[in-house]
Amino acid sequence: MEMLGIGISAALAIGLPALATGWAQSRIGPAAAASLTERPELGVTAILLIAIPETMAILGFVVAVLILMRGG
Amino acid sequence: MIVSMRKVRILGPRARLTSVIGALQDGAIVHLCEPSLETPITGLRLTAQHIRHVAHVEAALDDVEEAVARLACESAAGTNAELAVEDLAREVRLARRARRAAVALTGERRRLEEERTRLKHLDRAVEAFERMGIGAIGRATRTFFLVLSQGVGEGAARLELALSEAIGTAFTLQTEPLPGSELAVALTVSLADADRVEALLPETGVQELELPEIFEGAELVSGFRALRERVAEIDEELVRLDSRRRRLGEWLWPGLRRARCALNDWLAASDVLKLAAATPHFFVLEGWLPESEREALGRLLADREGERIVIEDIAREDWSARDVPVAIRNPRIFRPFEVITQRLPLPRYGTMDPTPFVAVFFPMFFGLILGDLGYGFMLGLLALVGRLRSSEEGLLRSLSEIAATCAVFSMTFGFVFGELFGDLGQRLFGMQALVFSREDAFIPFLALSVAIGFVHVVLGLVLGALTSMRSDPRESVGRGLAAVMLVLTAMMLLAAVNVLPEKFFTPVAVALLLAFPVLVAVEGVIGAVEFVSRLGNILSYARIMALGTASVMLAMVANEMVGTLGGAVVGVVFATLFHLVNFGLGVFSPTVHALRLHFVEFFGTFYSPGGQVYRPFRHWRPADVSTPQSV
Repeated sequence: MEMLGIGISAALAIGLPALATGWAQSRIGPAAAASLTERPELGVTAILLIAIPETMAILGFVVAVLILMRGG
Repeated sequence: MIVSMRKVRILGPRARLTSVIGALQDGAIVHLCEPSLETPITGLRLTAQHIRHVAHVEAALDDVEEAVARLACESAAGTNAELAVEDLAREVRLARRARRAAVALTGERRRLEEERTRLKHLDRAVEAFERMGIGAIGRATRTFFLVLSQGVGEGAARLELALSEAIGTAFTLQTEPLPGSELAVALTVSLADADRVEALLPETGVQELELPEIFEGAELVSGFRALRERVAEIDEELVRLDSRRRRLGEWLWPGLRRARCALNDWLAASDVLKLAAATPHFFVLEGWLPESEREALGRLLADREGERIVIEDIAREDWSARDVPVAIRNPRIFRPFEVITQRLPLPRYGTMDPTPFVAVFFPMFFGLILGDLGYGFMLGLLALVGRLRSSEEGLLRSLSEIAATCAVFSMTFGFVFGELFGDLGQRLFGMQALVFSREDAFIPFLALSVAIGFVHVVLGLVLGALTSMRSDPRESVGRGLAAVMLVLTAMMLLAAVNVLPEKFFTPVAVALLLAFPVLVAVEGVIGAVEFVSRLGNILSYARIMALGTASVMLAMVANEMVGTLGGAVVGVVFATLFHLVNFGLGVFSPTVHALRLHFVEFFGTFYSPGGQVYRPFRHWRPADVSTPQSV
């Protein structure tokens, strides 16, 4: 039972931030694509903007690993 | 690194102004600016004759550009080194003649193209009339050739009804559908009814097809043939014209190139006159140049003008850093990384060019994430191919050199982590990690990533404190204090987990608590907010561990495919494909995230944009359309 709780916690720790990241990127992506049609030189900036929300998923991943390691 | 600049004032006899400007243009080291004189010397007044000359030269330059565009003869061949304004009038005449020739040629080409388009448009309809078997235009009858663009059946029926009402049944109507929704209609009536029908057609919304002159008085079949022959003739004529235009372009291009350079040079020199201050007896010019070029300027003007010209250094106290143009000059080893820092606006003079730091940290982060001997070797091969295929100063050369550095770091960390295509090296050759294995040492890898982030962010804050020390001491103190507080925070955490002796904890915590109100006093509430965000920035470096772990896990999954997916051969094929995919991800993802760590976390601590580009006054060249920062 304890293992189940740890597994669910780890899954939530990575799953929820990943969903949030996906939602944020779905908003940034079209805006970046629209900007690129008018100013192609903003390519690097666009990629960086899209990469920014990934912090949530990455930190979520780190927390999930910590939960699994501490719990397991 | 930002080149140290010096401001100079050049003074000399008024009569030597043009010649000094010519010398400066040849030297190409001084970025001219408006004189900052305290004495009431006015700017140079341009004469009406000079203004007329400017207008003529501008018109001639327009002629050159139009001729080059119309002849499409611009090529990169040749250099500008031997070009000089020797005979401006000759260049102006050449430009005018070249434009006239180009206009005549392109005008003829346009006329032929229009005729060809018109004839080709008729071609489809003419084919349809041919299929109807209309051979000749009758003597006692008249045939109207029509194309109905409205709904096929509806248009023909309406026309037939209108004709029946007007002339009864004395007409022949042949139809042939055309591609799309058009209908070719051949309407034959007696000559007696021709006028009435001609008047009727516009009323029914039908327009007669205009046949070209070659049909007049001719047999229809021979008219059709003549039309096709004319199209073929035009095609041949267009080929001849193109060839003539190419030959003319090749012949004129050296002259046009010379004229373009000479005219642009003249206009640039004329623009510089506006920056000069002068009395009837002497002139004053001011400008910026790299410190290292100061002697070269002295030699240049002494050689060309002798002792008549004086160069005066303007003291540092008399100019502000925000007015200084910025030139970047980095050692050869760092130069490829300028393609990364050029994505940012130019830094202000007196601040820091981040290129050397990017050259160290970017490949390091990349290597830590990819961290595999095999993938690093593959990247090295790609870099080698890129380098072999690139030109000396091209973007591909810079990118391949960056990739080569990243490959070296990836292989180094691969060796340290004991990774060769994931755990393949361990399985085949018994490779062992030298420090820790990324596949199971999550915590040490996380600690290493955050520690690197700590060093990176603190380094940025220290750089920020140093660069703003002169321009904004308050900001400098704020950044320095933030760096100290980050160090104290790190010490406190290390003491809490017993890495440092426990007795450190209390004094460090007290020091941190005391520093906090000082930070708020120096930078305001925003200082406190920024301090917390700096802690977040350091945690953001955990992505190095997360992406690195993901990379090694994917490589291990690829290796697991051998033996689990059908036969060994199938497993090897799938494993190879998976490794290739992982390599693609392994190159893209570290690039994006290492860039992000620099642009967001690192540059945010010290980078001060807003510098203006150092543009030395020099001879015009086509590359002037770009904005090179490096010198």
